[in-house]
Formats: sequence, C-alpha cells, structure tokens
Amino acid sequence: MKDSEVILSVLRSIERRLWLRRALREITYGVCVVLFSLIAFQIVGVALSSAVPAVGTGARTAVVAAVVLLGAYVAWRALRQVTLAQAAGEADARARLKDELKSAYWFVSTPEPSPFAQLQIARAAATARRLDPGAIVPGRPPRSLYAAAGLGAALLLVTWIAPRQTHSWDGADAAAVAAARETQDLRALLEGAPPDPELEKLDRALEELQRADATAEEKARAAAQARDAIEQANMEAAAAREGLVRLAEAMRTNPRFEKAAEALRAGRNEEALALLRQMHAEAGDQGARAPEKDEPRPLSDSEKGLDSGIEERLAEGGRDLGSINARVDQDAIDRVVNALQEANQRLEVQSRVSEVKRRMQDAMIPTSQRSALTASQFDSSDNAPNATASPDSGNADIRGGTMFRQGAVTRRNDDEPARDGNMSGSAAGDSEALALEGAATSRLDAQLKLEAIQRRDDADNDDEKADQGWFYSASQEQESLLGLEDVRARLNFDRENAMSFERIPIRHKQAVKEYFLKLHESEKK
Amino acid sequence: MNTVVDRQIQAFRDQFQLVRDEISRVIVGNDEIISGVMTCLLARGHVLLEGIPGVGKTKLVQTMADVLHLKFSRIQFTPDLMPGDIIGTNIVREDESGRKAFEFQHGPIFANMVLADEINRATPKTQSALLEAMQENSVSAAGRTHALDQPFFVLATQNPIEMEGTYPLPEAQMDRFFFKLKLDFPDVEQLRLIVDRTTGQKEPAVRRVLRQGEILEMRETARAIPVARPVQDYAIRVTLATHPESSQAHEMSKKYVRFGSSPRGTQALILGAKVHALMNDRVYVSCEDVRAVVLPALRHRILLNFEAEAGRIDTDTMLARILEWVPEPKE
Repeated sequence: MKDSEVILSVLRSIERRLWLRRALREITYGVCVVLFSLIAFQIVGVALSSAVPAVGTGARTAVVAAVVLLGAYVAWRALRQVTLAQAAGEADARARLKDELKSAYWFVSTPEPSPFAQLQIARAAATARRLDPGAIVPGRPPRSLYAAAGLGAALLLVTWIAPRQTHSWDGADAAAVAAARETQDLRALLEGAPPDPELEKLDRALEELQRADATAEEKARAAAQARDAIEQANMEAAAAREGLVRLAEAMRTNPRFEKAAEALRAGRNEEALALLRQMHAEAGDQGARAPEKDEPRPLSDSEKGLDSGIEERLAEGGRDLGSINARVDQDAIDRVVNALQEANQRLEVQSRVSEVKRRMQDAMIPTSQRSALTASQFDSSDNAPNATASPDSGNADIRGGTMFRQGAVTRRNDDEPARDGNMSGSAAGDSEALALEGAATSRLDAQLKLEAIQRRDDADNDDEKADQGWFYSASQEQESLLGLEDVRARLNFDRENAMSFERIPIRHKQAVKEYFLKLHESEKK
Repeated sequence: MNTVVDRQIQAFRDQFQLVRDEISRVIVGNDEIISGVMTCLLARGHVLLEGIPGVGKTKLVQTMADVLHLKFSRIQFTPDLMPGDIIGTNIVREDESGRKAFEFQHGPIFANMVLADEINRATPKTQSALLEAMQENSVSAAGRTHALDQPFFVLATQNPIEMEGTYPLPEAQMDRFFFKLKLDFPDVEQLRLIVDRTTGQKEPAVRRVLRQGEILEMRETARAIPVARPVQDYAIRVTLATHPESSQAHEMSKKYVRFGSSPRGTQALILGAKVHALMNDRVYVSCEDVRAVVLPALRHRILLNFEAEAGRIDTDTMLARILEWVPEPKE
C-alpha cells in the first residue's frame, strides 16, 4: 500500500469515528435541550395554566414547534460530514503529532514535486501505521448522554411530584362542547310540545346557551331568561292545578258531574275530559260544535291574562256546572271543556319544562364535580349547586352539597364490593382509598403525612399520661397544591358556572314558591 | 531520493548543532539567542540584538564571526558616522603612468558578516545607508550598484536604556530586521560561568566550523521545506491579529496598536518556522514552529500607540495574548 493510501485509510477510520461521536453528541445534546424544555414547561405550565388558561393550547403548540425545529437543527448538525482534513486535525491534536498528519494530508491532496514533501508523506505514513484510531477517538459515550439521563430522571421526578392536572389544557373547550351538547338535548325535549310562548322563550334561551361563541355574560343572561320562562310556566301550571281543584270541588255538588269530578280529583284529567264531551254530546244539540279531541291550539292573550286566567275560568265553569238546579247547556260544558283542555296543555308544558329544569340542574352537577374547589368553597348558599348523588337531588337541601368529593376515603368491609359513588364517609378516614378520579389520583400516603399529636382530654393529666394519637394531615406540599388548584379551579368554575341555575338561595325557595301560590289565592278572593 | 533528503536534513542539523556548541563554548547561556541568530543567518535575514551593556551582544557576534568562515567587519555607530563611512566612497587614484581615475573604495559593509554596534547612536541618515544593503543585498554608490557577497548578514546591537543622544531606528529600518532578539541579564549560575571563563589565564577559543558554501547550502535546505496551507493560514491569522483595522484583530490590537506587522512579518514567521522545524528534525512546518518564532519575528514590527505606552503594554505581552487567542486550524 502506498504511503498516501495508508494515511488516507487511517484518516477515514478516524473520520467515521468522529462522525459517529459527533452525531451521538449532537443528538444527546438535542435530547438534553428537549428534556430541559419539558421540565421547564412542566414547572412553568402550571403557573401559566392558572394565570391564563386559554394560553395552554398555544403554549403546547409552541413547544411542539420548537421541538420539531430543534430536531431539524440537531439532525442537520449531526448529519454534517467530517472531512478528512478535520480528521487529520483531530488526530494531530489528540495524538500530539504537531500537525504531521494535517500537513501530510495537505501534501497528499495537493501533490508537490518537492522531495521534502515526499519525505514528509513517508514519515507521516509510518506514524499513521502506528496510530490506533480507537485510541484517538475512543468509543465511550459522550458526556451529554449522562446529562440526558440525568435530565430524564429529573423529568420523571418533576412529572411525579407535579400537581395532578385535573383539568387538561383543553378542559375548558371540552366542557364547552359538552355543555352545548347538553343544551341541544334539552331543546330536543321541547320539540312536539304544545305551542306556548313560555316554551318559545325557553327555546330561544337554550339556543343562546348552545351558541359556541356566546360569552359568559350572554350565557348568564340566557340562563336567567330560561329560568324566568320555567318559573312562568310553573306558575301557570300551578294556577291551572288550583283551577282544576276548584272545578272538581264545584262539580262534585252536581250529581250529574260527580264521576267527572272524581276523575279530576284523582288527576285523571283525560278521563274527565272524555266524560264531559260525552255529556256535551248527550245534551242533544247536534248543531253545536264540539271541540275536537286532542287538538292543541294556541292560547289567546285573553285566555292567558290574569284577568281571565285559566284558574278563574275553570272556577267559573265549575260554578256553572255545579248548580244542581240550573240548566246545564252545551255552552257551559263547552267552556269547561275548553278550559280543561287548556289546563291539560299547561300541565303538559310544565311537564316538559320540569324535565328541562331537571336536566339543567343535572348538568350543573358535573360542573361542581369537575371543579377542584373544595366543599368549603361551595358554602356560599347564594349559588350552591345541589351536587349530591341523591335521586331527588333537586330537593336536597344540603348546603355545599359536595360531600362525595371529600368522601375519597371511607371505612368499609372488605367483603362488601366497592362501587364508585357510594363511598361517602369520613374525610379523615383511615381506611383504604378508592380513587374517584381514576389513575391520576395520588395515593393517600403520598398526599398526606402521618403525624403524632398529643391529646390531653383531661387538663389534670400529666404529660406522660397524655394520649398520643396519629392523624393524617395535609403536608406542606399538598397544601400548596391545593392552593394552586383552588386558584385554577375558580377560573374554570366561574366559566362553567355561567349556566348556574340556582340564583335563589335554597333556603328561600320554599318561601318564594308559597308567595306566588298565595298571590293567586288572594286574587281569587 | 528520500535518502538524499534525509542526509541533507541530517547535515543541516549537525552543522547547526556544531555552530551552536562552538559558540556556547564562549557565550554562556543564551541558547535561544544563538539559535535565533543562526536562524536569521540561514533564513537570509538580519538580526537586531537588544540588551543592556555588558550582556555579551558584541561578544556573541564576534564569536560567531570566529566560528564561521566568513568575512567579518565591525562598524561602531556614532553620531558623526556618515553613510560613506559604511558604504564606501570614490577616491582619486593615480596609477604608475600618472593617469588619475576614480576608484570605489569599499566600505565595511562589504563583508559577509557586519556588526553594526550600537546602531541607534548614528543619525537616521547614516542608519538608512544600511537599508538597501539589508533588503537588496547590494549597495549603490556614485551611480553604480555593487552586489554584496553572499551570505550577507547584518547584526546590529542597541542599548534600550540609554536614550540620550540616540536616534531610535525608523520603522522602515526596523522592518528590515528579520528578528529582534533580547538578551536578558544572566542568572547566578551563568554569571559564575562567565567569571570562570573570562577571568582566567586563558580564555576559551573557538574553531571555524562552517564554511561559506555550507552556509549557502543550509540556506537552500531551509528554503526547501514545504509548508501546508493550514499552517500558512495560521501564520497569516497571527499577523492579521496584530492589525487593529483587520476583522481578525485581537482586542488588544484594536486598543493599543497603531500599525500592525508588515507582510515581511509573515515572511519572517514562515522562514523562521522552517528553520525551527529543521532544527527539530521535521521536514514540514507545524503551528508550533510558527509560535516559536512569533516573538522575535513580530515584536519589532508592531507600532504601539500612546495608550499602550502609558499603560506599559509591550509587544511581547500582546503577542503572547494573541498566541493564546488565535486557534490552531482544525483542518
């Protein structure tokens, strides 16, 4: 082999090793940067999400874009070729050859007729034969690899101790989509209902709530309109019920209508209506127009007005039919049938409205469940959502209503199968935890610290006799995390709670209801 | 062919070592100065020796003249020295037939080795008489140019502390010197040796070990050493780092330098590095060779500004910083 070939062969070997080492170093360096960024993102992200929740998606996109750019840059750096001249320079520097290979490579690549250059090439070839490329460029991993491993461990540690994100970056968006879907379902309930202005008003309010770009203020306004429509429908239904009661009472005095009255008292309005129609037909006037069965018609303003309210018209009809001696003509029956039909429509409307109201209240429960606010933060009775898991949740007068959130632990028998949702119990429980929030929930002993507390029930007892108990208490870390979660949760809760239904305090609800009922009673008088 | 070159290189090293050893029999210490003077001789340059009185400047040159088979002349520079006293002059001579004719009387510069002792004591006019001789190896007088015999080698000395009544060498004159070598005061051991050698009954004598032809051969050998481009680039970068207006200038150069090294400085770096490489048994020039000659080759070519003088910044310090700063070529 010629001297120049020997030199080139050794330089190529060194070049390959240098390239591999540089590529490894660049890649691990890039990994270091990415890991460091992720650690910083993990730490800063929590603060960002609490301060500006909407920035979450943007920040994540920016991080992904930065990682992609960094990856491209690292790939470009890693894939750059190492020249033979660079290899010669590295070999000279590492083997302390005083530029021998560098000069020799230069003379090889730019041949000179000088005998001195030839001599130099021959000497350099002899040196190259003695060189071990493995010793010049050892195959040991670069230091950045250790740094990457350390950063990876740090990332795992930070991820483990970082506060659990009960809300993802997209939590707000997901909640908005879910709310819109719920509202769509509510509007579906109103389809096919008898035409009613309150239902139309409610439908418009729900449509506003369903609108994706509606602001919190607009949603709150729409929710208020929905509440007003529901209350109005409820009041009208209550008035109809009062009228039906009074109609039944009046009809009972006339034996001819006793069966119909019994049906009304029992709540079988359709049966009473059928009996009245039959009597209307039997009254003999075939030319009189009987109202068509089950034909809903829009209510006129006079029919809805307080002056000629349904309650009053039913009562008047009852008085007409209740008089035993009076001649019961078809017109009187006709009026009662019309009023009864209208009352049925009102009750039907109230039925649908009640369903909408119940569903809306149900929709409010997940808001509180998803919220990271603690039970004590719900104790403002002004807008405390009824969040118990009770079947009749709408009437449950439980202030704060999020007991089940604290019921993460409870004492239970091992032979009793655990079921999600029934684990209410002592918040200071000492039994096995059931993770309500799934795999993301930290173990209890990771959240709490066990500390000994001296209890002295009797002041006369000596210190030695003091009873010592062990309690779980919140660690400093947990308190910090709870505080952080509290700040974040308040933002999300306020946004999701825009549709909060309960503007009237629970303890005042009954009084308000009675006020309106008595208001109608006074009108009657 | 390699054998011939090998022998040539070996002969160079042997002769170089022989001269150095012989001079060392008289001159105590100062090995680097001796090597520097030899480097200048073999690189076809001239040397300026600077040192306080009594450190052996003149003795070194005299010893060298004794060791080399060369024609030696000494010029003691004084303020009243005229250019003609150095170069020579035309005189009227009458032959046997009574005819009179001008004849050029060669001055002391017509020698192989010229010692210009205390060169800064002469006026600039007289100093400049050396310019042509040092650069062109020829002398112009009375309308004729006289070539100087090779090797032509000027060794000038100057005293750095006596400034009164002296004429500092102009920049153009300084730039003609290949190296500027500084002789330091000897240490205790060296002083003891000096006393021993010079105060006895018999002073050490030297032999003539190198003939004129051998010196010329050595010069040819030194010139034949090839330089790779990366090393050449390194020398250029070092030179450019002394230029305050250059994009590759060092920070200190920007702050303290009025004029950087001339291209002669780069030539001196490369030629000096070639000799240095040969002295170290290498047939190529490395960056280490360049670094070895940076101080003597460039220290007198850099003109500092007032700020540097006020801050007592000297060119040696600056060049040391530049050497630390300029990276070796990686490829």
